[in-house]
Amino acid sequence: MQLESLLDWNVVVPWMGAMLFGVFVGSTPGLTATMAVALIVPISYYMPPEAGIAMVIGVSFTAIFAGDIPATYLRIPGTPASAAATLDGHQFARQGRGNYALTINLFCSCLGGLVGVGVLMLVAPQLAQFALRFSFFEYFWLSLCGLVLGVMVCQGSALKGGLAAILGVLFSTVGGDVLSFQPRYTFGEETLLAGLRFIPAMIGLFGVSEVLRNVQRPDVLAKSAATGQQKTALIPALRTIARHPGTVAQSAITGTVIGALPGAGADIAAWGAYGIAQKTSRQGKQFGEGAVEGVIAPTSANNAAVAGAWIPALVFGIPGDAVTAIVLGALTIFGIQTGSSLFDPETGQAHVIFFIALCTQLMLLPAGYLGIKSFGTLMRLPRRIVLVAVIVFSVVGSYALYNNMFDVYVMLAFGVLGYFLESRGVPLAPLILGMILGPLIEEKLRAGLVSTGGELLPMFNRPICLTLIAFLMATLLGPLLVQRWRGRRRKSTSGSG
Amino acid sequence: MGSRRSHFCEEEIMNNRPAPATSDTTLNLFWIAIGCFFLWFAGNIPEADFTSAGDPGPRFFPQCLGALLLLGGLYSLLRPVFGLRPGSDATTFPKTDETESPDRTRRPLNGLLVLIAITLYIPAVSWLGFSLATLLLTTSLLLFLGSRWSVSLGVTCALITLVQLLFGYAFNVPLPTNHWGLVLPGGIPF
Repeated sequence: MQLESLLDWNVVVPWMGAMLFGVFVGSTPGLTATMAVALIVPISYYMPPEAGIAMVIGVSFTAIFAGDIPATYLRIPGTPASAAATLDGHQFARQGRGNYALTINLFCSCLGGLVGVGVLMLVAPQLAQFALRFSFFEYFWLSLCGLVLGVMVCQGSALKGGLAAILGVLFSTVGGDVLSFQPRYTFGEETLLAGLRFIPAMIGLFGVSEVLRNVQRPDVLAKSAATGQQKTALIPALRTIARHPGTVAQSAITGTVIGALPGAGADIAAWGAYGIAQKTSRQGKQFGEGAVEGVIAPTSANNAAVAGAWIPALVFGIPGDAVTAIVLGALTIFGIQTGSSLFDPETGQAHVIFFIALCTQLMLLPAGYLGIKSFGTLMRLPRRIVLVAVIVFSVVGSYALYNNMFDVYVMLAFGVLGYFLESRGVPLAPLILGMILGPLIEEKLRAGLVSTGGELLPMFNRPICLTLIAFLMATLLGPLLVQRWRGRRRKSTSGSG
Repeated sequence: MGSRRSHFCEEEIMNNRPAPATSDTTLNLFWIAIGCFFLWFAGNIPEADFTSAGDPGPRFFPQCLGALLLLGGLYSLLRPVFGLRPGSDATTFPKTDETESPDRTRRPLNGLLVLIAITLYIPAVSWLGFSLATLLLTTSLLLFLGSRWSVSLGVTCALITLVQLLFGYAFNVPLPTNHWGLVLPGGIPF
């Protein structure tokens, strides 16, 4: 396999075609990045090996970015990794600056991907070793940190956010038990054994609730779905990114590290980066209301996480998430074996993969730009048309995942729940995060306890566990301590005055 | 006091926010009810056939979380009774854009009717097939929301064609067909 062959037209054209396909699948609610990669594999099999590998790798990165497009415009995440884009990105769209937010998204996805691939090339073996040090308890604490961070950074009351997160974790307990597979809350229904899937839930919570809210305002139904000027703002977006290089770098590195942990994935990476950005930003209070850093952080992290997930995958053959698992399978079809042989300079296979991954980030710019423009044009339609289309796509998207009508009812129920909770000031993000992280938290805790025979001490005395517990405590108690310290300072200032 | 109240009402209307006290009571009762539900039915979860030493079992997690939700709901409900500080914020829907209207023009009945339409649409898709059910739903919904007949039909046909092409053909996801196996000329399912 030669690097030069990657620049042939018979490789570049299907590669770009696959990336455009990734944009369309990723931006279709209900169709995940996993599905996009799964759909391209059978087609790539009929291509020359270089083209086939490029197509599969190209789709895996593009679909993650494309998920941000409907999340920003319609508040329906195209993929679970884009759920964080429904916060600040959507606020920009409401202000008529959806294209601006998405252009920032596009460049940050590219930069995040470049950082992720850069890290992959430089420190893949070392990082993979670090990831292997994570036992059940480290994963438990990491997942719990992710959930708590998600609650602390959300808009509104922390108590309501916390209760929403608990509700999300409770919903995740429906179905077969994570260890014993005993049915829980299934009431004899076989369809419930698989549990409440979070993709229909997510579509309902964010999409249907938005429709129910918007149809109550007849005076806006005839207006365009995207308000104000929706020009693609390349230069302002680039200037904005140039003002926040730290956030891009920090989020991309966070995404790469979280992505490198098997089982973590791009969705957790996006939320983690969002939380860290809010904690470290001077405009932390504006997060959720249309903060630029709230757009930059998750999108830089989710693409970087895709590259990060390749670290254990390429070095040890352990995929970090479902997308990488399919990519790994596809690489095997093309005769690429993971492990030390992959990095053999004589075969040059690692170089080809790295080169494809790097070029994909740059090719993402025209492919993603086309996606933004196409979606932006659709958003000029009257809002009532877009809302009706959202209903149809929500139903089809929920059904398409497993060809199951039960998922459509789940979507509808979560739509009503989302409408109710949001009307009462409850943030929805912790609920969906609870559903994503719930099984991981329970499984890792119980598997850890089984491995130690019920002993609790190993949960607390391992160095990585201790670091994560300290981080958790700081996240929980930090705001309270700061508030108290400020109160005392104010008192002492007024006393001395 | 009066000026504060009127200021609050004005701000509330501007942001489309309902009164927090009533809504918080409903919400707190909701948390309590859901907590009780999960806690009560956790007792019906069968114990694992093969128990490993140290595994707290399949009931442990839902019971703990159900209890937490119940306690959280009770705490929120009883906070004002014990003179504790109420929730610091009662923000409701995400910030509205400039085109959205104040409360007086809201029509909650629209939301209810659309919800009923979606609820009927789901079984209709199974029976009538995707195309026919969508034709009925989208045309009637668009007419209800103020579109003209011609626009409603045009948009509906475009939407059905787009979804069929995208899902049925490009992504190879079979969409529900009608219960009677009827097909269009050329064997195209609808």
